[in-house]
Amino acid sequence: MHFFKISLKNSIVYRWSVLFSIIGSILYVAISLMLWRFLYRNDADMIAYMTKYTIVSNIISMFYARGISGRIGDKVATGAFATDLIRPVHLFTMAWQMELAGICANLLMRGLPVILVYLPFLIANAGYYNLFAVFLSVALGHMLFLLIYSLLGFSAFILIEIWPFRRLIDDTIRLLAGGFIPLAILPAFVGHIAHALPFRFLYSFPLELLFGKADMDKAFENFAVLIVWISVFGLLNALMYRQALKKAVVQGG
Amino acid sequence: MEFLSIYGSYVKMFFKARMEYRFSFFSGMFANFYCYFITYATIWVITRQFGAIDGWKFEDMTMLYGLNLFTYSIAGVLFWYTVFHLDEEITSGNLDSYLIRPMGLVKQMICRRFGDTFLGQIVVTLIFMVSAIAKIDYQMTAFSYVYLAFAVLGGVLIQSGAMIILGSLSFWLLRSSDLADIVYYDMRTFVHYPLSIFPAFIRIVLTYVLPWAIINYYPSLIILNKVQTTEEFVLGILSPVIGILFFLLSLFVFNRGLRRYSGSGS
Repeated sequence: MHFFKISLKNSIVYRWSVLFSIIGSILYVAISLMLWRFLYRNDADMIAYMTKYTIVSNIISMFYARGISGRIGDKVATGAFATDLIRPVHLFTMAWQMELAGICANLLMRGLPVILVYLPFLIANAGYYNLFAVFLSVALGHMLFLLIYSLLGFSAFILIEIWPFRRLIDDTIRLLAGGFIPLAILPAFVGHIAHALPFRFLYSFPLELLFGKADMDKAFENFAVLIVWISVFGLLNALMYRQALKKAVVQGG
Repeated sequence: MEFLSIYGSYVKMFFKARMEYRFSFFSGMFANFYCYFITYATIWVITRQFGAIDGWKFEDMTMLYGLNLFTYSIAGVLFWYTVFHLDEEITSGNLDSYLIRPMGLVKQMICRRFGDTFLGQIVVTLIFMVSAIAKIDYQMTAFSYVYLAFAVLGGVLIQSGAMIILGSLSFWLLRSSDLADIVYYDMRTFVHYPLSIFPAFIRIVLTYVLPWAIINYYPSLIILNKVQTTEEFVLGILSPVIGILFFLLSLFVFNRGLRRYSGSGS
């Protein structure tokens, strides 16, 4: 809890940064909205759908904090990892709490203004479904995202510099998770790739649930697959951590 | 010439050091290549789905986005790591050590770090732009190629000027990166698309307040034969001149800021 509090305070200490990040978030959504409104200018229903899709997807993105890879990766690269081994809190738990604080600060300082500014669009012809399932899918998506990026952090034992690989994952998510472009408009072969990877559970799946585009059987199947993906990445994290402990050599008196 | 020779020596040393970590070097380059490949893929998906964006097909969009990215990458090789991130140099105290050396500050900062990670962007942009030039409907003339070279020069100068001005703000604000994110990165996102799809006030801001549209939009109108008004033609044709003026302005702002700087230590 203390890590959470400290990290939350750190997130809001630079007031100008907070203001600029609020403006940045509102601007980013505005640019995407203008693009979709132009592209679907002859289809009012699609404009309404893409408007809500863009705003909600932007809010969902705030639940996915990629900083954990840096937190773990930097400790591995600098050797600070060794001192964390003697602490009573697991490195992953510590990094996760800090990320959770960052997410709370983000939701307060960026999410809330985005919701307030775009509220008229969000409530116009509101047709939201499966809210409990949506929250559950975002919570599970958060776990999946966290495990993918913490695995990347631990892989600093092998890769040393992890930022290029973080960028590869970021960009793959940008195209294949359905955060910006709905998966339905991807060409078939790209759509197949997106469906074979776990990233679609981050944006596309919760958004499909929210807008009533997924039937219940399909939704249950998707939840099952998502839990399998979380288990796979959880297992890989545990394996990587154990291997790291076996190989790590700590010098000192 | 002397500066170029010194810069050449620094670049040589940089690559020698970087080659000690070949895997990191090439993975960094590949990551940037992949990042912008994905951006081009996103543009392709949108234009494939909608045919074109206000008459701009994928090849036209490639020219538009490519001009922005290519000029950004060249400016980034020189200025991104140090001048654009001047706030880090100031808060870490490194800037003071530059000031006791005989070479000009901006020149020293250019030499200090070669932006190798931008090479991946340059490669991917060249691939897409050359392919776009081969496929665009409009026949490129000798004038188009000469103009393209000058437009790239103008774009590089505007991007470099932007990096210098936004970095220089650290002399006044100490931390300018957050402001730079909005003014430079977020606002420049508009010019990834044809400005004609946005409201008029955005076109005015991106032309007369922040000259980002002069980097790629107006030059693309000329290269792709899409000019419709005299204003568009004049802004496009003058883009290299605007680039020179903007770059000189940025050096003026930098020097004004430097005069105000009084050191970071006690």
